[in-house]
Parts: sequence; structure tokens; C-alpha cells
Amino acid sequence: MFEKETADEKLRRRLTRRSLVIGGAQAGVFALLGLKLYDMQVVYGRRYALLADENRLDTQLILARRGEIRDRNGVVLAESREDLRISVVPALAGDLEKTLERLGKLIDIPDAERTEILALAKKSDRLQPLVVRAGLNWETYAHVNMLLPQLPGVETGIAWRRSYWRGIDVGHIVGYVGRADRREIADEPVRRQAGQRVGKSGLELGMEKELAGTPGFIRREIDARGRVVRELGRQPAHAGRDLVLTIDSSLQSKVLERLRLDGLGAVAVLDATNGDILALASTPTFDTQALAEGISSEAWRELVSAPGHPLASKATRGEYPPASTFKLVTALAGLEAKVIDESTTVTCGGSLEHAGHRFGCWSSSGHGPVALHEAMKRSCDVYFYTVARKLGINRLADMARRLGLGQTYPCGLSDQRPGLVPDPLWKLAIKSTPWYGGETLLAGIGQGFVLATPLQLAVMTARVATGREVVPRLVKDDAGSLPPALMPMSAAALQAVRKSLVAVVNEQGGTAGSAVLTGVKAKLAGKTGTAQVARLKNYQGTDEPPGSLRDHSLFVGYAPADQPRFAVAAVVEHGGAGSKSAAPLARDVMQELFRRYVPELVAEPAAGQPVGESKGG
Amino acid sequence: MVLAFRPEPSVWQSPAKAGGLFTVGLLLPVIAATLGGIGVLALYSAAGGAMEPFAMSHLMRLIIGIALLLLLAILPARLWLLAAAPFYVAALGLLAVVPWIGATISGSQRWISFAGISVQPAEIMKLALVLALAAYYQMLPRHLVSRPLFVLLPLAVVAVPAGLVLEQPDLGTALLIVATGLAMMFLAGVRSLYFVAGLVSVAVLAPVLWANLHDYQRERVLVFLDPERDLLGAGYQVYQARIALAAGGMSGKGFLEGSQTQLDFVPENHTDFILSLIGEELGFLGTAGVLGLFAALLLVLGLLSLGARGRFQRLAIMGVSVLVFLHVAINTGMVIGLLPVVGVPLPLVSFGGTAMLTGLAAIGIAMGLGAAGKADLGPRRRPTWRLTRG
Repeated sequence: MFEKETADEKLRRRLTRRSLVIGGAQAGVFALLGLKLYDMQVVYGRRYALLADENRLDTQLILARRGEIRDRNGVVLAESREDLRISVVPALAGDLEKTLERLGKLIDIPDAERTEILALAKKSDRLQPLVVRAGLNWETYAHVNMLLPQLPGVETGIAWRRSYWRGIDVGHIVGYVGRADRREIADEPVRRQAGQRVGKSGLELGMEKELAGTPGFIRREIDARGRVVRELGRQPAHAGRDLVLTIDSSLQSKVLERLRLDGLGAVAVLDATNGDILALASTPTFDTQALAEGISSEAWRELVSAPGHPLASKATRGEYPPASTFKLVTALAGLEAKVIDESTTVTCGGSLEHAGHRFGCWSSSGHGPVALHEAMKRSCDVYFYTVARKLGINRLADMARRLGLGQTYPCGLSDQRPGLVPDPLWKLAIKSTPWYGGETLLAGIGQGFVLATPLQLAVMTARVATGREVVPRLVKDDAGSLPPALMPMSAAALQAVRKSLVAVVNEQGGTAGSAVLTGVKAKLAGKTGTAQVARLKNYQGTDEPPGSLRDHSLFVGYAPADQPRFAVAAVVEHGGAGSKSAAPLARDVMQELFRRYVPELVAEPAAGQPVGESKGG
Repeated sequence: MVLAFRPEPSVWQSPAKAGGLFTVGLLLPVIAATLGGIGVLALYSAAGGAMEPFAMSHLMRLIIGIALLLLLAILPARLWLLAAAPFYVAALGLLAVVPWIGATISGSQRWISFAGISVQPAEIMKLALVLALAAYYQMLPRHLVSRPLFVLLPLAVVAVPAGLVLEQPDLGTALLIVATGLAMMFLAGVRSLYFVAGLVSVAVLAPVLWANLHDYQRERVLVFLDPERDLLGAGYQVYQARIALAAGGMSGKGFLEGSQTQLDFVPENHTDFILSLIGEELGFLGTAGVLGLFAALLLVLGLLSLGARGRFQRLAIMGVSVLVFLHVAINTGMVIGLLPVVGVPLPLVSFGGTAMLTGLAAIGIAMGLGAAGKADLGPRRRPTWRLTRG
């Protein structure tokens, strides 16, 4: 009892003692914090106020050089050059109008530009510096720098100016940069800096992380005249990564030149052996250099609403019904699932009855009894309706996905649409209605809900041509490339489809006789497609429906047929039948490819048909 | 083993009846309300001179919280002793379910919500831990306090919630829980030798650990310790806060006139960095005033603790004092760049519901315990709850 009493007593005294120790520590720490606050606020604050009159500290961001973009031959497509500029921060300028007026005495600011800056200041982040004048010479730059203390909110700086080469031809691929908007600034506050540009489309957007680099900073003491007294610290900027593309920009220009003859459309050209995208053309085009230099809001609005949507890359954003080009998928799926073989014959009487509806063949008189070879060659719809019906939509959709449809590719391009490979689950989720058998039939000939982009069609073609899982590639990496893996697919099935595709172009009665290669010792294999835009019943008997209602013309193909090297997909909007516009277009592109890359297979190298003069056929 | 429990009539008296409420403790709600009021003004300014979105809800919480404080202060002290263990277990349970049902905000899971109310279990845990440890040392026979087994037990009581908080991840709160727990053990009289041994082993182990870190881990630690290494990232806040404080000077730029904070240069200016806003607009007088109010709060708590008679009361009150002190010291140290940015709010002033309510609740409990001087819970003659030795 006695011992416990003392233990208790001891602890009680210890508690009091230690409470006092802790209380003392608290008092000590508070005193320290108070002193430090006094030092920071009153002592340093006074010095800070003095510094405002005499010297001041200045932290300046060093913008990182944005990575260059070159094509496969080393041609520069996008580069960054140093640029001296003057900008103003509305939040710090006080009376922005007065500041601009004062600045106007040093450099020429047209009235229109002044009102634009004032308008911009109202709607953008008030801390975001607005560029007043870029591309200054050193004398003016130095002059403004000297007078900086009298110009509140005005900043000078060295930025990088983005320049695009062949911007009109590769604009859809390379994209362009622009001033960061509020959302982009919220993601990364550094983008607030004047002259900082972020990718807005194409690779500039898709590869922003790699291209942007990381900014550095310099901290300096600056005197009242704006002169640097001493440097206090610096962290260098790290330039962004330079990109080398798989694109051949001169080929791209040639392809566009040829495509423009046909009006609106898109062409995708792949190296079928490794997935390199050699060209990716869309018309109409626009000039990225003009955008990078900054265009007026009026010109921008005009560009956005221009006919044909020049800003959109149709090769990756244009979702078209693949029409008969989709018959590659249907045929391969049928053979793979063994619902047909090469000799299975279907008799085409011009139409097929299904669930009380009549599904017409494009040839209303019918093709008679046809097997795969003949059906593909003459593009018999009834044959493929039958195959699709036997397959069912799920097996058909599965094959479409295996051939690369219905997906976007991780090639760095931001402007990709996935197209659409429909199946009952999709329809139930999106349209809340069950799948009808007739829709399977339509899907079997690439109409109905099926949608694909030209790039996807080129991938599909390359995969059929090589039997390999070709994935399109736009940016070369240092690792080099292995040939893509073989697809787990019956070689016999692939071979049968390929044989029929050779017949489409090269045999009597094939739908794409207009695409047969001339002057090249290689065969083109391919498939035409004619995508209905409007029901044509109303136009039967008359010559042709008006332009905007005419069918889209499609062609997919690869060459050489026996050892595939190139895969091409071409879409000409409202170009009529596939054999009429897209097939000759693809032929000309293919001939150009052989002239450039495989001259040994070109029969008459000098007298080769110049691209662009062989329309029709 | 018999769990003997003998109520003594006086023990169940409310502190008011016990006659101890009208003491220096009465200053506590006054100081707390003043600090909360400063918070309302600062938040009004942080929103650019508007009651929404911060100031109005801060004010509502302050009013509810002060009412809660007064309510808790008149509850009988014994209640806290009885409730300590269940309260701790409940808080631990809440903390444990955060990873499953918690919401992720700024990359860490700290919140759970039910019935439209979001709470931060870690905030509740701080208070529960103080009460649990105070109760533990109330129950523990005195001669066992420094026995290794009975030192390990409270260490576990501290380590489990600290570990859960660390998982969220919230390093600042985890360290704060550990520090509070250790301070409680120190106060309870655990032999100094343990603390010395602990310090020595940390000092020995730290370089070993450092040597085994990867380069990128080291860089992270270095940036944590010296934010200016990464001026565009973690250091940005600290750098801008420093400019804001310096711009305030002695008497500040005036209410609603702080350009640094008004212009959003200082992120989080309504939560953890609210002191930089006060410093810019009200100057050193403002920041020193806030610190002075907290010092007064700590002084009152210390006096209450010294004046209280029971071991439980004294420990719990000191525990609350340590909690408040650590928050203020870490937050201020963080804003003025002495400590790394760990996300500890300034009690009662920073925006945040759970922190405000648990803070005021803790002060209320301390006030009640301090007043319950006559209702001694101490087992001087006869432990009221104890494991009898048969």
C-alpha cells in the first residue's frame, strides 16, 4: 500500500514536471515562429519595399524548346526558332489601356490589334500574359527592356516560335500549336507563360508530353533600370523530344496533288510489312503555318465552317460505310468459321428474301451461280448476304475487329475516330432495340451500321495481305521494327481471299479493271466499294443524282499481289462507284509508290505515267 | 479477476454542479470563437469578398461547433473515461474502412461520407487517441507504467491508426498522431530512458535507410525537405506564400487588398495556406495576433491541466493542448517555409468541417474535464476500475 502510494505520488510529480516541460517547449516554439514571422514580414518586408524602388528579385521562366518533327527522309516539318517578344499581364498592368498607349510610343500597335488585346484580356485568365508584339529585332527589344520599370505589367522575353514546313500538305498529321486555354492552364500552370504553346491537333496534341519538354528558370536581382545586377540561381530548360515520322512528305504531297483532282476524300498508304504510315492525305487541306502565326478570329471562324471541313483529317476522323470493301471481312470470317469453303456456290437472282424483306443485289439482273472467287470479282451482294446470314453478326463483328476495324491506334495521332463495328450488345446499349437478322445481311456488305475510317481500311487490307497483325505507326522509335506477329488464322482462308482480290483488278469482268497497274511489273489486288449516301430509287432512269447525294467511292488494295509491300485505302466523297474514282486514284498512288521505292519493278522508269494525268479509265 | 466498478455519487455530478465550471476555462469558448471568426473573415476575403463558397459554411460550422463545445463541457467527466475505449475503437473502424468507401481528393483517400455528410476519420482519430491514452494511464496500475509490455501496448494504440493514415497517404497527419501519442506517454511518466533509446535508434537507422534509397526516392525526400529545389512544382506554393507574407509588412495591405492571395498566386489559400492570406492583408499584427490567441488557448489549457485533480483529466487536457500546439506549429512552420508542406490545417481558421468540429469538441471536453476538479476520478485510495489482483 505504501509503495503504491509513493509510485502514484512520483508519477503525479512527474506529470506536473513534464507538463511544464511541454508547456515550455510550446512557448519556445511559438516565440521562434513569432520571431521568424517578424523577420519575414517586418524586417524583410521593409527591405522588400526598398527593393521595389531600387532592386528587385525576378524569377523568369526559360521556356523549353519544343521538339522538332521530321519526315522519314529527314525533311523538317515542324521546328522551333527563338523569338523576341513583348507581352503584358492584365492583372499586373492596372490600367491596361494606358499601358498599351505608353507601349505604343515605343513600338507600333495598330488600333485593331489594341482592341483585340483588350477584348482578349477580358475573357482570358487575367494572369496569362498576352503577346503584344513578337518577332522583334534586338534594338527595339533592348529599348523596351530599358523602359520596363515605367511599364507596369509589361514583360519581355525570349520565346520559341513554331514554324511549319509543307504545312498545307502534312497539316492533318503534324497538327499545330496554339495559346493554352483555361482548361489547359489548369492542368499545367506553367502554360500560363507568354509564348508557351500547346498542341491543338494532330501529333502536336497527341505527342504533347514528349514534344513539350520541361521549362527551367532563372532568378535574378534587377535594378531600377531593369538591368540584371546578379544571377541568384538557374535551372536549365530541357528541350522536348525530336520526332522522326514514318511519313514521306514528298509522297504525301504527290498523293494530295492527285487526290485534289477528285475533290473531297482521303487516302491512307501503309507499308504493309511493318505498319509505317507513308502518307495520310485528306482534302481539303489548310495551312498550319498560318494558324501558328495566329489568325484573326474571323478567319478562324471561316476556317471552322468552311465547306468540306478542312480542319478535320478525313483519313482518321472520316467514318464512312466501308460498303463492298467490307466483303474482305465477310469472306474471311466465312472461311475461318467454315460456314463456306472456296467452292460453296450461291445462286444470285438479283435479290434475296429475308424475313419478308427483299435485299437487292447491285446488279438487279443477278449474277447467277457464284462461288467466292466469282462473287468477290463481281462484288455479288447476294453471295455475301448469304455468308453473313450463315455467320451471324457476332462472328462477323469479331473478324472485323481482328482485322483492325472499330478501334483507334496508339500511333500518337489525337484526331482518330473508332468507326463502328456493330453487334447486338452495342445496339441494345445505344438504341435500346434488339438486333434484327436483316441488319446482319446489311453488315455483310459493309452497309447498315458499319463505319470505318480510311486508315482502318488500309490496316484491314494490310492485315489480309500479310496475315500479320499490322499496327499503323506514325512515329519512328529508336528500337527499330520487328515484323508484326502472325495472326492466328487459317493460311488457306487468307490465300483464297487474296486470290479473289487479285481477280477483282486483273481478271476480265472484275469490278476494278480500272485499277490495273500499267508500267509496273507487279499486280495490284484490291476491292472496290460504293457507299450509298441516299436511296437512289428516285433517280433511276435519270443520268446521275446531284453531287451531294452521289455515292462515296471506295477502294482498298495492296501490291505486289504475290509479295505485299504497300497497302492503300482511298475514299472519294460523292465520287460515284468505287471503280469510277477511288480505284484509279489508288492505282496512281500505287504506281507512284513503285516509282519511288521499288524502281526495279518499274518497266519504263523515264516514261512512267505522270501522276495526276490519268483520271478515269 | 473482477472488474470492480463503484460509482461515487459526486462523480456523476455535472461539472457545473461540481462548481468548477466558472474558472479560467470559461475563456476557452471565447478564444475559440474569436479564432473561428478570424477564419470567417479570411475566407470571406479568399473568395474575393464573398460569403460563398467558404465563409458562410465556415460560420455555420463555427456556430454549431461552439454549441457543441458548450454541450460537451457540461457533461460529466466520467462519461469520457467510459467512452474513451469505445470511441477509439469506433474511430479506428472508420479509419479502416476509408480505403474501401472513401472518396479520393487530390490523390489521397481521406474522406468518407454518409447521409450527405463527409467526414475525415483521421481528424476524429486524433481526439479519440488522446482520450484513449489518458484512460489507459488512468486504469494502469502505477508501478506498471514503465514496464516494457505496458510501454509497447500504448505504442501499438498509436501505431495502428498512424499506419492506416499513412496508407491514405497522409504523411503529415500520421506524424502528428505519432507525436501526440509519444507526448502523452511522456506526460504519463514513461521512463526517459525509452525516449532516449528511441531517439538514438532513429539517429542510427536514418543514415542506413538513406543509403538504401533509390536516387529518385532521395530526390523526393530532398524536395520534401527543401521545396525550393523544385520551384515550379512543390515549391511554388511556399515561394508564393513567402512573397505574400513579405508583402504584408507590419500592418498589411488591408482587408480584401492582398494581391498575391486574391489573384490566386497562392494555391490552397482557403485551407492550409490561410495564414499567408492573413499575413498579406493584416500584416505581422494579424499573424502575431492569431499566434497570440493560440498561445492564450494553450496557456488556459495548461492551467486547467495543472489545476485538475484526476490523472485522466490532467492527461486528456494536456493531450488536447499538444494536439492544438502541433497543428498550429506545423501549419505555421509550413507556411513560413521552416517545415515541409504536409497538409496540416490551422485549427479553427482553415476551411474544413471535420477539423473544426473535432477541434471545438476537443476544447469542450478539455473545458469540462478541467472544471470537474471536485469530481476526482483518480484511484488514489481505491481504483474505481481496475484489474484486481485477486
